[in-house]
Amino acid sequence: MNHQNNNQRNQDMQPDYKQNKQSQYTTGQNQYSQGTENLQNMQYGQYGQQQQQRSRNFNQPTSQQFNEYQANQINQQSTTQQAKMIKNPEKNIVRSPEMNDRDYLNDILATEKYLTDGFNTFTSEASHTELHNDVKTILNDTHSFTRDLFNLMFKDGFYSFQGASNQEVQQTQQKFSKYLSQQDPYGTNNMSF
Amino acid sequence: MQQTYTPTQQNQQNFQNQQRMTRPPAYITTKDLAYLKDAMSWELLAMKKCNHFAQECQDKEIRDTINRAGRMHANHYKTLLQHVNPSKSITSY
Repeated sequence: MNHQNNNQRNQDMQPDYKQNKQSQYTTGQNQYSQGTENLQNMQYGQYGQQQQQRSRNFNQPTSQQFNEYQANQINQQSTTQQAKMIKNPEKNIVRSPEMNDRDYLNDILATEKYLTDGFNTFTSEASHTELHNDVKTILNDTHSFTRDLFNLMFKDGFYSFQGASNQEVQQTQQKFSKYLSQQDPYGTNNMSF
Repeated sequence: MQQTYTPTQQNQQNFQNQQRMTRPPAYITTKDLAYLKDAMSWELLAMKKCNHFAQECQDKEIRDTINRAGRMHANHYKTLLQHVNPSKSITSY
């Protein structure tokens, strides 16, 4: 469900990006390598390099020259708050009333999620051990595949994420460390467990 | 009239103390069967959907991925079907 919401949100959020898309492709390398640098700062560098090795077969002739894994800052104009977007350039998809590849992927993803929900309940409620174990394996397989599907969609640029700001992460860390030191019923807050 | 299954039922004379089951025996319950029917219906629909979508897809990588999903669902269906076996049924009617 979350993924789909994200997806919907992406479509809403992207007009800027789409308008700039052509120029980004043509001005090319500099902007893209800058994007990768941002990513490496964000500790995703290793994965980015791994993805770089794989070539990609889609219609855009220039696409292979570029790294597959880039962070694009959508609102580059805004100076006050910089939202770090974790996103790949979107794969060329025909937009028409007909279902396209992206729609098919989304529908399969929704199906897999429906299945994992169902198998989760089945796993808890199966009577004997053999049945429980088999259903648990099916649940696990389905989850793994759903993740593969999600990764493929991310690679094709159908998903994007907004990186949380350092400040907000730090505030949360402090707040919840404090909670633990005040409320831990096991007294493990000195981290000596 | 419902009968209650315990392992001592057939060997009542052999065991003086009642023997307890530590795990449910490998029998299909009514609830198991209801879930198995549901789960196999989901898998069947999923594999048909994958097969259909894969044929419609333009991109090879997407097509291959969806096909892989379809084959996975077919395998899961077979695993589930093995559990629907009359030999695992506790009653003869």
